[in-house]
Amino acid sequence: MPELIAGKKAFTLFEVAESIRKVIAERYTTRFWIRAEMNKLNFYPASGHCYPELVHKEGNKIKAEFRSVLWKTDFERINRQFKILLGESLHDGIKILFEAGITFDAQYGMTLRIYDIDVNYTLGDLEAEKHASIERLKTEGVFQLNKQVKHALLPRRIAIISIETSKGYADFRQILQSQQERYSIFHMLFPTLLQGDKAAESIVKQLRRIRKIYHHFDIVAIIRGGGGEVGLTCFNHYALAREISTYPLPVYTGIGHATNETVSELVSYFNGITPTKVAEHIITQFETFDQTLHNAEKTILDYARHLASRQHRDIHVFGNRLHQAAIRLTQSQTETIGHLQIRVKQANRFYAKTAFSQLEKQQDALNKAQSALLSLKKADLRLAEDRLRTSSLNRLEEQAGKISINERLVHTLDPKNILKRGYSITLKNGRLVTTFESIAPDDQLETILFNGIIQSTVISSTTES
Amino acid sequence: MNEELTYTAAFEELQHIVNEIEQGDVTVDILAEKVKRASILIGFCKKTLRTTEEDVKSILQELEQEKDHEA
Repeated sequence: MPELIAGKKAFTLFEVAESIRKVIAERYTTRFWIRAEMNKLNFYPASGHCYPELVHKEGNKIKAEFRSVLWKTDFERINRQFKILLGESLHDGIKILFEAGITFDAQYGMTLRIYDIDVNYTLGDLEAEKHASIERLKTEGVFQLNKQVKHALLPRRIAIISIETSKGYADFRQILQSQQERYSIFHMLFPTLLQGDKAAESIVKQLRRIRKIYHHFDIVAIIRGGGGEVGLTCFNHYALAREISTYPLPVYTGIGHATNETVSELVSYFNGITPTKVAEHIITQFETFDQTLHNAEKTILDYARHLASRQHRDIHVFGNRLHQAAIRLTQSQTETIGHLQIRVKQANRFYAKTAFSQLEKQQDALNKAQSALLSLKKADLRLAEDRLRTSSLNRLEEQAGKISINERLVHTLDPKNILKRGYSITLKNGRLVTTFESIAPDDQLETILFNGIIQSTVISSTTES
Repeated sequence: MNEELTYTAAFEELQHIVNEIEQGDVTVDILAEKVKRASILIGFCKKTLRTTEEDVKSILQELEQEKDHEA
């Protein structure tokens, strides 16, 4: 009851609180359904209770804001439904339709207690948001862009968007590393938030960082997972989906076990759903390439072998044909030569006969001519002989005549014969005296006569003149 | 990027040679030459399966430079 204090009617705090509690309890007798945006879930793991922060927005303006409670048992039940129907837990930033009751407690004040949440409403809203994102991307003509971006021959250099602690990232890395012996794949982590409302923004930020150095990479892989963690709604966000769809590199997504693909997955170059599948898809490309190389090698080798053996066979066949042709040719040549030989022999024989008879004839003629010539020569010779004999005899006679004349002449001319006829020879000092002038008185002279020599001395001499 | 182009080009050339060979467009005269070229290309492509030359440090450095550039 209020008391009068200094002329004023005063209530105790409890009385006021109790009054409000009564009014509220009378006015809000039953539970009712409210729709609002759950800005923050505010889950306290220690107690298991949640204190969701609810807002009502018109445009960007917050028209109402309320704090609520969701007790552990209610939360667990509702969360199970969310996981089944939505594929994810209850989380920040979703629109909810919830059943609530309002109570007032003197100690704790006004409480908006959430008894139940209509999962279908949230689902519908998320679907609506998702569709809105898809429609917008399609209208802008960018929905298919990332699927058309040029893919490197092999995803050898991978920019990974994930978080160090993620199980999905560990799985992903483990698969790549298991192939290290065969294939060298370079990957680099760009860590991001993967949970909560800030996740989309955080991923976009990293994507933009990578975009600046995208020439170092062949693909971007957004990796997240280890099932049933946090919601995938952020991947339906328009801004993130647009960043992916317009990305200069192929974006691979492996972000969990979604029943329905998120917009980011829809626009990505390749959606492996799980990190493991993404890693396997990457390895498969290496294996395919490897196999292609192997096949190429085999094809080339097989063909080369085939061609070589065909050539070998051809050469063999040609060789045989050549051999046979050579034999045939030799045979026919031998035959021809045989024929020719016979003909030559026959011709020879005939020719020899003719030639021989001709030769004989010629010999005869020659013999005849020879004997004729011989007899002619003999006659000549005889004639010549006769002539020679005749002329020789004449000459001899002639000479003999000449000699006898000369004999007589020589006989006549002999000084002895002359001396016999009375002539003498006078010598002075052994020299013949022929002139008068060479004689002087008292000279000793020798006078040679026919039968002796007279020694004399000159007494005088007279000339005839 | 040059290396990437060469590597893609190498693979394309290899496929071209294999096609030629499969279609029987290759004669014995040029076969040896083609096989030699193909084995070089295969070797090159195989090497790309086993080597990457990216360096985290240099990438981070480049990223930092980009930031400075922005600022």
